[in-house]
Amino acid sequence: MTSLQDLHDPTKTCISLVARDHSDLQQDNAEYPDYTPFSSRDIPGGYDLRLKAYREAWKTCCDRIQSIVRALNAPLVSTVVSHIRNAYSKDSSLPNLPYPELPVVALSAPGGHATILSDVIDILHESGQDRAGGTSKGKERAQDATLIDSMNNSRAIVTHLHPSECPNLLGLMKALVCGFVEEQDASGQNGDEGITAPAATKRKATASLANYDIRLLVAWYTALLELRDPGPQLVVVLHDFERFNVAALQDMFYICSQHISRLPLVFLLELSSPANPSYLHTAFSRSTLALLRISTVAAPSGVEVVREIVQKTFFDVGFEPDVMLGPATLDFLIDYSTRHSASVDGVLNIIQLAFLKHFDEPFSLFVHDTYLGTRSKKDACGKLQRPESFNFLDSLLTRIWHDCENLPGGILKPEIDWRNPSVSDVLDLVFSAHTESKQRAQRMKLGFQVMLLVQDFMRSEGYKSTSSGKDEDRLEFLTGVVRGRVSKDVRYLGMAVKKLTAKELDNLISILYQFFQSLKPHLRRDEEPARVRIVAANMQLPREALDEEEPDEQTEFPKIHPAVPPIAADIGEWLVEYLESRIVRLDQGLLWDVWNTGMTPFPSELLNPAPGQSIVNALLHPYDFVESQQVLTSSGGLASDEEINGESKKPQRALWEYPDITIVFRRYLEAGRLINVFDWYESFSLALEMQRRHLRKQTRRTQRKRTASASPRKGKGKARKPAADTEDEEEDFDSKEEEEKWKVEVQARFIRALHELDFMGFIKHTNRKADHVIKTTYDIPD
Amino acid sequence: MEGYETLISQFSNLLTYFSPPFVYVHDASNIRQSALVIQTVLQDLKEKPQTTLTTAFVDGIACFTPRLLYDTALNELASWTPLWNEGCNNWAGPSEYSGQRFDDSLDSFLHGLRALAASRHSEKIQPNGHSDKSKAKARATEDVETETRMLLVVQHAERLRENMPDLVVPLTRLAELAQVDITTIFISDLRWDQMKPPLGASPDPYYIEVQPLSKQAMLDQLSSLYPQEPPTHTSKIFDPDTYHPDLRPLYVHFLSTLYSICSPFTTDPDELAYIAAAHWPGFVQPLLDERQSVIAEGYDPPSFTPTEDARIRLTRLFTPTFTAALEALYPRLTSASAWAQANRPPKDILSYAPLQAPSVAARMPDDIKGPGLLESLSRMAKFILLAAFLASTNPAKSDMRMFGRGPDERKKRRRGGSRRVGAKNSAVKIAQRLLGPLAFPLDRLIAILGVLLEENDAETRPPAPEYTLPGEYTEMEISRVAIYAQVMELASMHLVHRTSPPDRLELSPTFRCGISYEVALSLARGLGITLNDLMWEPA
Repeated sequence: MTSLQDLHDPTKTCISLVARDHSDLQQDNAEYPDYTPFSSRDIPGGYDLRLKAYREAWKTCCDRIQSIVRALNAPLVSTVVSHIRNAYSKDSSLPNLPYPELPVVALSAPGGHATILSDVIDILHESGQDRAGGTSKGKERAQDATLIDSMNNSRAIVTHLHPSECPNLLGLMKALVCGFVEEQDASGQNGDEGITAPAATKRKATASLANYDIRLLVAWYTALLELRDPGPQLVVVLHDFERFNVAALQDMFYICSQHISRLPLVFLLELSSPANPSYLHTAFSRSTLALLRISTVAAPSGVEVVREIVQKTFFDVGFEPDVMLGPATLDFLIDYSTRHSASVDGVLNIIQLAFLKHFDEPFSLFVHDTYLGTRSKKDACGKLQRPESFNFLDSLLTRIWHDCENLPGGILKPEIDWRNPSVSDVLDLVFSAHTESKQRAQRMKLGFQVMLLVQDFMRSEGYKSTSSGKDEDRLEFLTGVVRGRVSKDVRYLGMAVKKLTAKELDNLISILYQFFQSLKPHLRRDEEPARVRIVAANMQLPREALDEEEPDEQTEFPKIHPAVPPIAADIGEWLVEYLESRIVRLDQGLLWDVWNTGMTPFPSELLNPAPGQSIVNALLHPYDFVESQQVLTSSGGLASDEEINGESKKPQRALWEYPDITIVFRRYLEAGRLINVFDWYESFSLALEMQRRHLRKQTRRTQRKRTASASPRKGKGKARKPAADTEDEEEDFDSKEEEEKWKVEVQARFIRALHELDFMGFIKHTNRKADHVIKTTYDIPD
Repeated sequence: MEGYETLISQFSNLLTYFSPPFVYVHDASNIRQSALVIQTVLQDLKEKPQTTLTTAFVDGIACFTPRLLYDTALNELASWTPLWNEGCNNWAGPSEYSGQRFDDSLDSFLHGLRALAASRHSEKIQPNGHSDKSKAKARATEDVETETRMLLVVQHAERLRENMPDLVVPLTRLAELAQVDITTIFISDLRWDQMKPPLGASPDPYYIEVQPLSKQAMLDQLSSLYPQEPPTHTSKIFDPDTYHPDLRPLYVHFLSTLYSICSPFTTDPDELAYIAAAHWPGFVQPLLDERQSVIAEGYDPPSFTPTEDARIRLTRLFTPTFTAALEALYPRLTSASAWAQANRPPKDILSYAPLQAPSVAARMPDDIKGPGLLESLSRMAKFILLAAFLASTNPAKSDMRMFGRGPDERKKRRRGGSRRVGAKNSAVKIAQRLLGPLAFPLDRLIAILGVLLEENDAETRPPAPEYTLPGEYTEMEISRVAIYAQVMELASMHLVHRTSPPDRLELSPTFRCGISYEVALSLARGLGITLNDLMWEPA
């Protein structure tokens, strides 16, 4: 009860209200059970098994994406490092400048730069360290030929500045100076850094230089130079550069530039804005820019990176993702990255969410194998035969039966004894479906890559194509591929190939030949017919045709050897046939959606919600939220669409049936720009009066029933517990005292609702007109 | 030091014969140069046997707290260098002052100055190992009788007014307050009457105005930067013979061309020297190429001095690139070394016949080319920028007329009369887009964005059958988190400027547009929107 007393204490600025009892909380939770939509047909322990399977699948996918991003950024990392290394080297500097400039490397990476920076810093730390050890990552990168030559350079000392610790110039200078002086003291004492730093001396705070004085850093560096000459570079990394105080930064650059001759400082700025328009040039004054020598390094960003990631993760022959993205997810991914923001983090989030959602489905247990979390197929059979697994097995059988009935013509129906299917046979069927699905995906990717290859070739030769080479169009093309809707492009491509000249045809054939040659052995074996066809075409192509094709002087068109068009037509036809057989829809075949997210809608609300609208909707229709929650969490599994959308079934509720805040909010919507609070209160009390009367009637009715049946069963109250319940039911008229009490209650309830609306930002107070507030939200469709 | 003769003579006379307690040097053109000149003069004066001077140079920007100022001033006046191994201690004063701090307040600083004067006077000064110990000692013993004069030079003095306003008056009256022979010299690019403390609290200074350099003085000064010895190290950027002494006459010509082209835009000697340093290696490269080819053919190497004809050809070839260099280097769109690397002339350009020589077009270094503004932004960011531009240019009252879409829309818009001209006798009204952007609240931006999206973006969205009311889809889209995140991102890029403080949470934040009409126009064109139709005062 101390907290209640605290409420009256004007000296307290903050009061902690602790929940009375833990059991309260637990009860609250019990009202909202876990969301388990598929529990009716899940296997025992399915949730944990699927979580494990998800982790494995996501890890493979995430590792792949990270390696793609790292490969994309590798040239960038070495550029940054070489900029830092050569910041003070004489062979890349210009003589005769009026004064020395402060070297600054601006790393602009709008789509996230965590790996770039850490890679750069790792390399800076590695160099000059002749120990054979080091992290494996570092070792790999150190093998990069461009970096090895500078290994003999002295190692740089790096310090990091964050905007939160540097609100002003003093904080900035302190972080800069202490970053070097004290950080190195600490590591020097540990002795594991392999860098010689001057020994820490005890400084008397009052009699020595201030710890934000750059002269302290100068003194420290001078002492360092006595230990090792040439001294190391001092690299300052400014994280989240846009969030630093610009005026303080300008002064810091000025101060540092005054000491360039004694302190080899290099600044590495981490910018999240694009290189053009340059943040530095818009934010800093010319006099500051004149002190700096800025080298801008821009990381690849935007749609280009998204395309690269998606294409190399899900459409690359060399990598098999456990779960393939379906058209719905891919559509969302593309729409989000072209419309809102294209960043690596965004793509990772979207794919991860899609994966998480995919593993909600009980059948996703089969993503990796058919063992169902056991060691062997035998154990898995045993697990399935247990009575708890019956629902799972039943739905699996139904699904397989359904799939077999509806298989499209091209796919062989599996043979299984439907009258008496054994569990082992079913698992075998699932296994073969997995293999089949993998093969289909692989063939699709192969077809896609061949198509991309030919398209790029045609574009480079100046032929028109159905899609431009832009990244946006290429992304759009991917959704077409996933849906199997590319036959128009394929036919167009075939037509264009038929018109190729001998030389171009020769080039195309050699490109295709190299592509098939570079495939992995098992794939190459499968593609034997295609390879034979290409080799044959190459043999058919008359060598003399290649030489004869000089442009005709009169028409300026190349003379075409008579033997070439038939071969070209042949190749064109083969290409169309080949691509059409390869690029097929993936949403066919037995249990296809175990390995494909298919048309499952992407949970975009999680990534890009509209909180304002959701609050308004919840205020207007609170029961819809409660009911849909009940439907979702009820044991019956997912509700059918009719149940969710069945407007007709829902009883239309009167205003008095809603919670207080909804009543207040509805009245709010009906008002004009300014609301008179008293009128508002009056209308609210009318609604409450109505509510009270209805509730009384109800309680009286139950009372009568109760007395009639004389059963001691307790009447179940409403979900809300309006205090009207406690009102004395016997009396029709209220005594005066009770009337007073009721009025106070109405006031309290109104004030509470009003403050809740205020808290949510629907009300703006005005000081101009007494008892009036201003609305902040208008025109909400009911 | 060409061009600063007046300053030098004035200064050295002043300090040798009569020293006022407070001197104010005003240089509006290049404060760095004047500070350098004064430093050299003082150095020369120190060398002279008959004067005893100790000086301290303090920077108004670098000394942003009083403590830094006191420490720096006292250490420099006492020729004391703090050493790491000795705990970076400041100058502690003679033994009778032991344990006393000189940097915690103005009073203790004055004590410090007195202690310094006293220690100078009684030869007790003991400079630690690094300074010129012997000299100082010798001098101290020579002039036991004459008091040592101290000089405190404050560069960027105008910054004192912002950082430490309380210190301006005491610094100008230092001699009076400390009762020692000390002269304070302020160097600033602000005039004294603009930073003078109120109520005459400071004495009037001895005022020295530094005149901007004349053309000849500037050229002399620039050509004096030409290295006496060619640089010894080899470099990837330029030829080792670039700064050969024989090329000096050509350099003088080069400078006069540079000056005549650039002087209308900048007369800052530093800037001119910067452009010259970037441009000279490329300018002289054809000559060096020609010489190399002569050597390669087996002839004796010719002299470096070019013929008159070659000089005129070079100047003519490179004239357009001077302006390009100015445009790229003056706003520091790129650095000198990157520019020099990107702008090497084609090889052997002098071997072509005069009319067939390839033109020497100025190129920008690769790193600043990058994707343009239009490519790097997402579709929604472009819409938001356009909405911000409209919100900043159109008056808020016109929104209903410009963007209100209802049954009586046509009537309203006609009445809007965007070309309406005010009463004839009133002053001509200047269009808002020429006056600069107005601030607008976030809500208004989002509302305008909604109209733009509804009319220009609705077709490209993925289908969503759950929205049935007209405009409901757009309403939902503009209340999504991604839109707000995008606004904040644009604000961090300075494409939209936030005008309300970031820590104010209770009201809608206000912004101001950061793009120009031209950029907005090209953005609109890319999105297929006719911008002029949406502007209250179309161009």
